Amino acid sequence: MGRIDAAAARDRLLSLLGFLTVWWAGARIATAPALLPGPQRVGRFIWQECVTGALPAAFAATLTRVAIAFILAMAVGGIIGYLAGRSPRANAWIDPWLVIALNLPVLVVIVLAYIWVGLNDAAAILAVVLAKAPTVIVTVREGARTLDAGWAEMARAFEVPLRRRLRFVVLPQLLPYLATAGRSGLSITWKIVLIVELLGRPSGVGYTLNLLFQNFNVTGILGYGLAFAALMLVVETALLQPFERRATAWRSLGRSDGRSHA
Amino acid sequence: MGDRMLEVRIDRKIFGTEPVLRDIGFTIRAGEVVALLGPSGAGKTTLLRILLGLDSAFQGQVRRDHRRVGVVFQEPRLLPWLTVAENIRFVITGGMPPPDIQALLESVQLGHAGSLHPAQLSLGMARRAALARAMAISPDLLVLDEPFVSLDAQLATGLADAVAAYARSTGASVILATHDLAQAVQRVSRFLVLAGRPTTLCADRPAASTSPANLLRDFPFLRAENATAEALPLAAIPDYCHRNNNQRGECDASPA
Repeated sequence: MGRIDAAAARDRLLSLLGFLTVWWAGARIATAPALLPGPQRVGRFIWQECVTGALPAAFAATLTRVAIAFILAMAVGGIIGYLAGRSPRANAWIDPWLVIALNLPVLVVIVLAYIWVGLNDAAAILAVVLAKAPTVIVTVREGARTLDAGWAEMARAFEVPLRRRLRFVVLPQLLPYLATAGRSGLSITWKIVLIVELLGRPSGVGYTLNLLFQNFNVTGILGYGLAFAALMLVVETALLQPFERRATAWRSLGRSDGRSHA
Repeated sequence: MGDRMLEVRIDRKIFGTEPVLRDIGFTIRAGEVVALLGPSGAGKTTLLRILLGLDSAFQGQVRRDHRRVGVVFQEPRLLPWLTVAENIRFVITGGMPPPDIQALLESVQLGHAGSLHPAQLSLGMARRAALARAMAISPDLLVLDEPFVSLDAQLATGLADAVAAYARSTGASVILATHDLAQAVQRVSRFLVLAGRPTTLCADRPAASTSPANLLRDFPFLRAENATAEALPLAAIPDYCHRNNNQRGECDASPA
């Protein structure tokens, strides 16, 4: 197993080196270096922006919006998804709204939020939550539909209080679904946040990318875009993936006859 | 616990359009250990779910005075993300005295298993953990649905003795549903026999005045080899039930 993991890590590293090589070769061939700067030039730009403090400030503003919007979208989507999964009647009410929300272009949501709420952070975060929550609802609804009736019945028979049942019976079963929604949700959330910032905020990575675009600064666009994508990758690898592994760790113990009533 | 009672009267219980239980009535007093006997598929679990309050879609009435009800389901129903000790702790809620979990586990010969997860247990171990969980709340009513299936005879006997001793020492009532008369015969104070289609209460007999031989003569489907619906089609059971009742001129399902 360790040998397979090491081989996979080596292959990933080689693949990344291949990407950098292709990028470097493309930059060498490009007739106008300003259109496709090489990796070294982009790397130097990132370093300079870090030294001046511009990049950390932009990252901090965007990360704050991503974190708030992500937590709100997960909470709202989780609660509505649970209700839709447990109650056919609630689902009948929620589903048409969900279909509309899922098919509404994100750009429309963002523009309407800015028009109705104003050009402020509340509108920005509202737009992200409205755009992201529907996918969380769909995922958690599937999880809520598969909740084990036998465990719920056991807890009821022992007259375990509702809060304790939610914490120890319902939540552990939903965690894998929440983890899946969280992983896919983070990558969508930060991309939406960049658009929101580009369209109407005076700070953050999206705002900076807009300025760089107006100056046709491809080095800057690549620098900010790639650096932020790398940061999100680190967040997913360091936080969300370990959380998902922990949430599903009991499954790796294997199934025994004593596991479930089913 | 002395005066706590369980009174059950089920006029009719229907699944879909098919009546599955009818005219079942009995009372269980404090300290009684009652065996609920009947072939597989006779509706024992359905009856237990009704008296536990998990199924309210029936005609009739259940009156329960008990404060704490411990349950062992046919399947262990342990939460797989919790250890065995945590599973036991899960059912301990506010106001209950904290149990000595290690002593409980040792009483079901699982003293070493407190830190294990259910997936690391055999089915027999999981059943014993479920029994420890039911005892942990110091129940005054213990409902056991085929709790000793898949345990070896010696272990099943030991656990049945432990349950009977618990009832004697605490005055708790116990309902033990089983299709295997051998597991029940030595330790119970009453036999309730369910059979028929729809299922009805064929007999309610005190253990003191009923020998296992008599029960087996009157209800051959209680023999282990006849205990499944496959071995003895349910459609044939009403004949036994009918004949048994007619021998006395009336159904002998009167309270003991």
